Amino acid sequence: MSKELKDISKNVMNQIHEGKAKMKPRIYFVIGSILTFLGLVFSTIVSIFFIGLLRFSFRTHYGWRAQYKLNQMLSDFPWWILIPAIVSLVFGVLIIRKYDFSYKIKPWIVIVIFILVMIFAGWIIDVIGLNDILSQHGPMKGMMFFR
Amino acid sequence: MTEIELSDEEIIEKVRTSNQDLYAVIIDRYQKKLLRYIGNLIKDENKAIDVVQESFIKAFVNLNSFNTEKKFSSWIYRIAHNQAINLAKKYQKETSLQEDWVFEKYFFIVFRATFFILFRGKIL
Repeated sequence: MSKELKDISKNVMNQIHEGKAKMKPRIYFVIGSILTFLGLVFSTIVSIFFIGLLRFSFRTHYGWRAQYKLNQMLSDFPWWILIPAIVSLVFGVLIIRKYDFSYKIKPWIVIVIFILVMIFAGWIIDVIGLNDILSQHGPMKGMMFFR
Repeated sequence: MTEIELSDEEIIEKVRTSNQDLYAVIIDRYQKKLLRYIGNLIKDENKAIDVVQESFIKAFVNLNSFNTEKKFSSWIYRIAHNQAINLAKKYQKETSLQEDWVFEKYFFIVFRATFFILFRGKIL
């Protein structure tokens, strides 16, 4: 056993000295965390919007006013948010997967679960009316005009 | 102050900033404990040695993600534990793909059920 223990220490230190095992820079982890966080924020905004849109379209009877309102909602929404939401989510997950501490889960499973959680969170936020409060008072003021 | 008197976290800080050779002290402190732990987990001494060695390498590569305000022991144990689980899954996969298939099928059923409840069940 003691020989094996020596081997572990020797093998690991050899890999470090030979440069086969290199420490990843701190910025790598900072970027991964920031991207995932941004992905989370943008996805929540997109999710709230889509849930609001769905609820609205299920409720209305498709009169001209409803159609006008729907068009207004679609044109008022900042669609550019979709791009950073997807990009930061994908890159964040990829970088975090490279931390490689977690159990190996297929990336598409992580992304699909994440999106489902986002849809659920968006629905909850919409139901409790938090999106209305945010669109009137918070930093998202003026960003979305749902109703 | 010699490295023997330093805490794990202090040594890690030195490894990160100035002296990578001090990582050997960390290995010496934990290899026996980890071997015992992983050995109990996977019941195969040779694989346990591989897991422990790979865990130390992984910990070194990702050392900058370690928060020195937290305990290093918990961190290294978690890495080794996950490494052992990944190894177990890998061997399981080699012997049978059945479990993966069941998981994917189950996932698909849950996805369809969620979709049905949300959009057909008029919850929205």
